[in-house]
Amino acid sequence: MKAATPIAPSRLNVWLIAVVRVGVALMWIDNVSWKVPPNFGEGTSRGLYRWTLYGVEYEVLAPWAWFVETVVVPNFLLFGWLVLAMEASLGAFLLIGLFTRAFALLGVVQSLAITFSVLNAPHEWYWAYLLMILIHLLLFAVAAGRYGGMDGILRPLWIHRNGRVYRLMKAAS
Amino acid sequence: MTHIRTLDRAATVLGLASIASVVFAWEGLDKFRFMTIGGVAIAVALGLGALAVAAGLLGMRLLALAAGLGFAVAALLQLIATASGDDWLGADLSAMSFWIGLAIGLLIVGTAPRTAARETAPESP
Repeated sequence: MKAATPIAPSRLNVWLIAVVRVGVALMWIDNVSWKVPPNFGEGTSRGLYRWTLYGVEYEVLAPWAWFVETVVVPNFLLFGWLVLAMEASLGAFLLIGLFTRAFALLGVVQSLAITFSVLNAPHEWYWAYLLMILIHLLLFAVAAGRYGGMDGILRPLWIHRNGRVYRLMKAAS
Repeated sequence: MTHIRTLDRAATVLGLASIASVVFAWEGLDKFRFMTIGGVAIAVALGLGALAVAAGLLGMRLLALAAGLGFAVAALLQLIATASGDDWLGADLSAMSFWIGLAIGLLIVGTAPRTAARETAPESP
């Protein structure tokens, strides 16, 4: 079977891919604001702490609930800082389209973690979480940062360079 | 216009994004208020954004570096302000994430080799 022709880089396609990438970045940026240090809601049963506990109270996957209860909750402050760093980075890097394929995969991982925590919580629309996973897979598949992003500007600089760092940067973009 | 280097254009776009972010000062955006910008943060967004635009239009790497460093410092200050419960900067952690993106982009523009990257068609993934 003959391979399909890659997506044509028309001006419209470039704009649409960039709009989707920036839109997903804004989703992460928007949701960084309620991961508030230093306690991330612990002690008040609000914010990130409450949503994390949903993974135990409204179990989606038994191994995940066990992980949250025995690893995450006892080390919640460390977990809170990691989530803040991860989601702030997802917003920042997807926004400018740098190392977009790597951050799209991180987005899949974080979306899965969120899904396993809140999918069965009250009033949650399960398609929201499935769509989060799917849109990050799409950003990865089309290498969205090459369209109106920093990856598209920087890859020509990296493409003929050798060395482990450049290979990593090329793979990440 | 066709000869503006893509790196300079990136600095201009990042600066314009910062200036445009002042729209988030408007509370009427309600659930579409993706970040909070207010008080001192408005001056940060406009001042550093204008610096980045100037860097792009004039092709001056030093200005892009200065703007990038400025956004990095603003992001760090916002994190400290939020963690200490004293939001004197008038922004929030969402603005911090936005500023981190602008900082990284502008620092790259400021440090990338200037032989770089005229417009090229994207490769296939």
